[in-house]
Amino acid sequence: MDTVDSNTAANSATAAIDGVVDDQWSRLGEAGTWMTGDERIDLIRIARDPAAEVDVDLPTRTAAAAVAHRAASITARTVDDIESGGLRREQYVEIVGVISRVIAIDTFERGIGRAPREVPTARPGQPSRSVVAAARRRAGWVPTVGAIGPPTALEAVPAEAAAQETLHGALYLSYPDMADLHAERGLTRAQMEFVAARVSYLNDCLF
Amino acid sequence: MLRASAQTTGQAIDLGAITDRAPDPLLTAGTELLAFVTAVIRNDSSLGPARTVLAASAGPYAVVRAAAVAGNFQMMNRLVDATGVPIGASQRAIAADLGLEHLGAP
Repeated sequence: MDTVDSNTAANSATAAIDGVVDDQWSRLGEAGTWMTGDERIDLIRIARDPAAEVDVDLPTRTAAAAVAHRAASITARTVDDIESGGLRREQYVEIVGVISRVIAIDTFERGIGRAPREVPTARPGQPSRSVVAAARRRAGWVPTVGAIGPPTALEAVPAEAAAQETLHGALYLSYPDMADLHAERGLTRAQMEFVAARVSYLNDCLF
Repeated sequence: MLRASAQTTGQAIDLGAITDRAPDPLLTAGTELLAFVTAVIRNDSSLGPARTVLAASAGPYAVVRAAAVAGNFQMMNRLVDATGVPIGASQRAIAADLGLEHLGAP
């Protein structure tokens, strides 16, 4: 691919990712399943700075800071303690979903040389508090409908699971495309996996 | 997935580069990718120069895709670490090869 073609492809890829991220970023300001828009906005601030001034309660702040800034040190006991502090496991799942997407988006923006997005405006509304009746604790620390794995870990909050899958497809590969070991998107599959492995190493994560 | 994709496509790769145990990943633009991704995650002053070098070596499209993949795995690392997704046998085997068994300790 020559430089002109690569520039065109880069612009096209960036526009496609922006289309997904613009929508998700705006929705972060809306009430979710367990948190209000204001609370979800506070999660963005904690994702960027564990010492940020926020209004969320201490268990929410503790959970959000742990997921954002020291996820590799989280244990079953950590999540038990968060639940004992007053957070439902489903609310913890929403925190994991929001925080992890914010950090993914901020990382992408930084990588291509753009400033972090401005915090979106919070909108009024109450969380749905919708419970997935079939979700229960299995091998992991959060309820899931089936066996827990990377694609299913957020199943107890379907809106978070859907947003995570959509972002995964935009930034990397869709779940079905992951089976194609010859897939190329600007990088060969081996290059993509090399990037993934290096990120995981730097995060002290075995994934 | 790295080992599987390299084997499937016949791509030579030195996995030791992931943990700084090998100087050259033996992958096309591997050294430039390594420097770029490291700078993105550490968010330090080497990011701008690393981006420029990767763009010169592999093109602007590769920069966008590398930033996107890095973002995705920032998300996935937190998701699996925070929810207790069990680590599979193949991942443990690679970790052992790389001297990273301690990362999978309960």
